[in-house]
Amino acid sequence: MSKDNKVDNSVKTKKNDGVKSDIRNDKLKLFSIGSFLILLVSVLAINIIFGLKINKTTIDDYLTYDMSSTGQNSVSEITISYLNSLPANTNIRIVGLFDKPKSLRDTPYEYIVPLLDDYVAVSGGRVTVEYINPTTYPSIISELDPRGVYDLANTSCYVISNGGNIIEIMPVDCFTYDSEYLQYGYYLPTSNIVESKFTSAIVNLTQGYSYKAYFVTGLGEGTHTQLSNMFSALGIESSDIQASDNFEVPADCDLLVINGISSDITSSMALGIQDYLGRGGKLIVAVNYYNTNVAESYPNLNSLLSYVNIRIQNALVMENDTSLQINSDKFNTLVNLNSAFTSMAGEATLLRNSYARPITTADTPFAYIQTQPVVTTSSNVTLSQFDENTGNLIQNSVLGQYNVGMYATYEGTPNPPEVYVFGTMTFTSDEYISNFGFNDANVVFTRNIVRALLKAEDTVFVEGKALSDYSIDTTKVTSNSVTVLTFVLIAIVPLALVIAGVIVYNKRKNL
Amino acid sequence: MTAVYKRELASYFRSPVGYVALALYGFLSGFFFINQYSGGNVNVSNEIMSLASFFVIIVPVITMGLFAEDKKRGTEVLFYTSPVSLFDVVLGKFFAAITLIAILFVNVLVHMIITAASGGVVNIGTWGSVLVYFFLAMLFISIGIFASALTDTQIIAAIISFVVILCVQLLSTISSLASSAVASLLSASLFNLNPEKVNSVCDKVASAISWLDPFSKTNDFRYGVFSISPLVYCASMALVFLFLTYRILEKKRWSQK
Amino acid sequence: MIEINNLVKRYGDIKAVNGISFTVNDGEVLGFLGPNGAGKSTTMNIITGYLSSTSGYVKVNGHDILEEPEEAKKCIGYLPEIPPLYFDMTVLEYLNFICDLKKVPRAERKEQLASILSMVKIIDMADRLIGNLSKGYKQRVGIAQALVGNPDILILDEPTVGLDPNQIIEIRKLIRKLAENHTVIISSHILSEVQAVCDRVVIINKGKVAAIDSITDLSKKLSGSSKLSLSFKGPEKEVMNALRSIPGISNVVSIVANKDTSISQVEITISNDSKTDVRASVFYAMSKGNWPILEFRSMDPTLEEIFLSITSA
Repeated sequence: MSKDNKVDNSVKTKKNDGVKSDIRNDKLKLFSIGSFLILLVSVLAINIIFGLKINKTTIDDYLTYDMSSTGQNSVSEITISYLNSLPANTNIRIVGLFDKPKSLRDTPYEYIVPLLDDYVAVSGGRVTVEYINPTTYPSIISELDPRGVYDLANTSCYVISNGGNIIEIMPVDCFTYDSEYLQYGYYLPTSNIVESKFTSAIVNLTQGYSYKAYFVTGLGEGTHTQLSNMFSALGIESSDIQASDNFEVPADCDLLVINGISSDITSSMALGIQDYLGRGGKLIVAVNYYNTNVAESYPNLNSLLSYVNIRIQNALVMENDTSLQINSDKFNTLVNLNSAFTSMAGEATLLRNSYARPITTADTPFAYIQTQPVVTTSSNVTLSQFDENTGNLIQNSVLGQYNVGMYATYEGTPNPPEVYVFGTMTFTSDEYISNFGFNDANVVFTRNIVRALLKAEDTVFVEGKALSDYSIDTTKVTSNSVTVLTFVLIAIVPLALVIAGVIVYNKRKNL
Repeated sequence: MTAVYKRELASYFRSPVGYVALALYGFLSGFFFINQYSGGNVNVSNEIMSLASFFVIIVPVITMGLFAEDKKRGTEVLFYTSPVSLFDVVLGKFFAAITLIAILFVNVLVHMIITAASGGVVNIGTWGSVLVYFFLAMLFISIGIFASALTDTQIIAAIISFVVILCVQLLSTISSLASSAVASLLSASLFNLNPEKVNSVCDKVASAISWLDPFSKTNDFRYGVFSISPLVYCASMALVFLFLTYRILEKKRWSQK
Repeated sequence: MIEINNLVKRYGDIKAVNGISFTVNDGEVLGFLGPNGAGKSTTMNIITGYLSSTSGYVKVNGHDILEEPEEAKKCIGYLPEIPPLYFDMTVLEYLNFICDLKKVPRAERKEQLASILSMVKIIDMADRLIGNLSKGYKQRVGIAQALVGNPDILILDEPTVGLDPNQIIEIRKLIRKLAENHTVIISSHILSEVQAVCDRVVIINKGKVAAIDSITDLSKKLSGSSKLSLSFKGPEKEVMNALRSIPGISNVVSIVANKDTSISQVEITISNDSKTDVRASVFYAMSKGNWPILEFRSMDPTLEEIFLSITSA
């Protein structure tokens, strides 16, 4: 009878339970859905928290670390300390006049966009970066440039704006290029000067330019864009001054540059510049011996330079010491940096030199003129000259040691003139600076002499960054090794794996 | 967890699947590598990121069977009736798939060694790419496992994960499409809205969608810039999918269907 | 010991299991009998923790399967209706995996597997691929899997379904051997199978317990309502009358009657209180009438008939 009771019991309980919903299942369902929702919400919350701002900087930015050796995408200490020295309410607005680039890979933006984000991150709210496309938001143009001075509407540039002033920066200008080497229709970038450009723009907007430099133009010289870039990064505004008979060095000139002129200055210019030097002027002169100026002996320039006891000879330096030749070229060589200047070129003691004229002292007999060699050849140099009639180089067989760069100043004078004269263009030409980048020893040297001339050692200056060079050692990679590797990697290895798979399959199939 | 992990990992190599996957991956990565190598410029990050765009193929293949096959064969009963947590089972399968990816990745390590031996560059950015690759793998594998738990047919699981991963890979495209859709919707509507306002709404829509994009978040790692939040994003989203999988498995216990 | 109390499992509006309660004592072999769709598998799935019940509880050696699932599951070895086998593994690989899954300590593993393999007689198959084994061997591997971890309780869901008669006999032998030191629950829809191996039977139908009885009591009850089938050559009516007159036969019903060949089949119901074996009487009655017996056998009652007889009793 006991079993009958049991059956009855179960039937009864069923009746009691029948209508009730399944509390346990509902609980489990609630737990399931609830726990998932809690997880989802907390995960979203955590991820959103990263985007929150503390001190106008997102938490995400605080937790970002640039581990690259060159810090390509991080602003340097120099920039950070400058930004932090600015008043907290400073508002530097960086506006990219285009949509924010989405795919950065292999474009100039890959080094610009992340770096600008880092500016925002470190600036404590002083710098903001926006991307505003003027085609969708036309009002941005007049907002940035109310006077309509710049042609912003048609250029995809960055505009840095502070206190009503703006500076535009083109993305392509943020790099130096090897102008001799075209890759895929573009020049090969040699260094990344993004930070240098943006920081100097910020410095110059916030504190104005500290110095003024003039370039003498109109004498068949090359461009000086890169030197101007460098000057700008040093807080020096650059202007041109046209060569003419009534030439006068402007009173606000802190530095005069005669860079790569292929024809001589006039005698009145020589007098004007002499006058400038007499006021304690600073001068940089650079000419070489190449193509267009082989017949030019620069008599007026030399008469100017005799004022500081320096003379540029009309001859070509030929280096016979093979250890100093670059690629066995007697004209493209290395020259020794005088020990008095070694600290100014970083670690380097050998600098590059190309188609140089020898620089010597003139015979000005005043003891207060101090001249110093800056860069010197080996003692194994012969001079040669280009014969206009025959078109040949006439070689002088006398071996000697020559300077290709000299420095002169006056001693014992309160405001002495200072002059650097180079017989080569490897310190100042656009071509050189562009090809070798801002970090090249010659360029570093140029920068440091400019700083020394202007007593501007404490200006904010951010060095260029070397781009990662992914090229492999071509001596190790012969076409043979490429073929072998191709064969191994995309034929033998996959085939071997497939065979291994087949063997394992067959073996196991019959177990 | 280790029991399931060991079984799943070994099962990849008990059948030809693991070997064929290795061979295909080796061929593919070898192709990317040789392409750069023969040009004299090798950036391993580029190779890794190219491989990352193949997750859409690789992940469905290696995850489709993880739960679907157990459901079909009835072996899932083992997990429910053994003294293990279902979440451990999910984790075991997840780590088995990750490990397979790591084994596939040995190809790339070999390429890195060849690059270094050839005087090329293997820098912090390369390692950043490796890190990103594995965090993306975690995210996508969790999606694949989730798809596999939804159905008892491998092919359907593969299709689901393929579609979802494809959508994730196309998020930046989707965001711009969505923004232009919103733009046309707003400007067509009767509100007489200032076009700049419309644009700003569209930008917000686009940025909200592209916020989800794991690729754009992790873009900077290849330049050696490491940041915590993208990694947290990938790992936490992976956790969400794994937990969802766990819940779906658990559902079988209380479901009334 | 397993305590099952008032178990309910609902699927939407249908109650697959509707208030089942029973207790399985240590060391006993319990048959779980019911027609297909009666809720046997669902109940077993609930006991093993595969499914959760809507209400009621299951306690395995005192551990509630929902509250302490790990403890409870450690006590149970389960062979589902479809053995959970990976066809791409060898028997040994598979059993090692199960050892991992059930957290069998490494030190005991080798010994335990050896004893299991010899007990279920698959030593020769240890290195064969499971997918290549015959159905009977697959079932043995399934049982081996349930034995891993030395559980006290074995739950076998339809262990002989789909096997050929020889394999069925082998598996039944194995189950009897296992019963020596395990508590065993076997589900089946075949009465004779349960009778062959079980001490006690729980009969369920439509999600409810129809009866819980020891196998001897059940047999008694069933014998009371047993029936015989008789085929013969001869005049049907005469034969039926002759049969009805035999004491102990309560009813004779015609099943098949072929007038051309004069071959008929009748169903003979034996009265409950009959103490004599009516079969001898039937034989003599037939031989007396000179009606050749073509076939004479006892009819196994269908499960429905058993339920009917049990519930009506």
